Amino acid sequence: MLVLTRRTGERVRIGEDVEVVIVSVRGDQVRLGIAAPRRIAVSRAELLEQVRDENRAAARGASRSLRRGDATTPLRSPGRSPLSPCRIGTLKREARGADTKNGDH
Amino acid sequence: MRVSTLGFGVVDVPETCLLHFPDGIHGFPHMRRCCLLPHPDSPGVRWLQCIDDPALVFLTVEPYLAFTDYQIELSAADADALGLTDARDAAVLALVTASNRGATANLLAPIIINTQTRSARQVILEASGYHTKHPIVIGGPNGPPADAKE
Repeated sequence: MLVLTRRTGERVRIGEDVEVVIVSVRGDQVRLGIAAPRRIAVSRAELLEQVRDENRAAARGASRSLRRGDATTPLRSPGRSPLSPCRIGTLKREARGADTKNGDH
Repeated sequence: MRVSTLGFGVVDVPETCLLHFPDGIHGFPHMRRCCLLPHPDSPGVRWLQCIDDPALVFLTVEPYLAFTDYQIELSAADADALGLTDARDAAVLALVTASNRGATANLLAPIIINTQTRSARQVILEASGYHTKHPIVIGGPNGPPADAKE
C-alpha cells in the first residue's frame, strides 16, 4: 500500500480523473474531499461491508425459510402483481457534500 | 423461460418479467438475472430469485407498506446507472433478513428497479439515517406494522 504524508489543503490525484483533497484534520478525524466522475462510486468502506454482510445474512435467512417450507403453498406466477411505484423524493442532480464527494467533473 | 430453483422447483418466467442487475449486488456480484415471485399469503412480499444460481434467493418487501414515511434520494450516479430520468419509472424493494429473532428490512440499501427497462440496482442511501436492520413483521394478521422506523 502506498502511504503519503499530506497537509491540509494538499491533494492527491488517482488516475486521470479522481482527486482527493485533505479538507481538515482534527484529532483523529480527517475530512476528505473527493472529486470523481459520476460513474465512480465513492462510499465509506465500512458501509459497503455492512451491506455485503447483511445481504449474505438475508440470503441465508431466505434459504432457511424455504427449507422450513414457507413456500409450500403454490406461488402466483411472476408478473401478475405489478410493482408499486417508488416514492423517490428527488432524483439527485447535485453532488454530495464535501464529506464524501466534492463534486462531479 | 423455464428457470430451475432450489426452493420452488421449475418456474416459468416470461422474459418480460426478468430483472437485470448489471453490477450484481454487494456480496453477490454474480447475481445478474433475477425474477420476482409473489409470496402467496402476504401482499407486497416477494421472493427475489436469482436465475443463474438456483440456490440464491432473497425475501423482499415493499418498504412503504411498513415504513410509510420512507424517503429515498437517489444519487445522480445511481439514477444514471439505472437509466432513470423520471421517478415514476422507479420501483423499490427492501431486502428482508429473517432469523430466529424475527425479520428486519434493509432500508439503507434498497433495490431500485427501472420498471421501463427492468434494470435493477442495489443502492446505498449514504447519510440517510437508515440502517440495515429495521424490525418488520411479515404475514401478521394486519400486515407489517404501520411505523417501524427507528
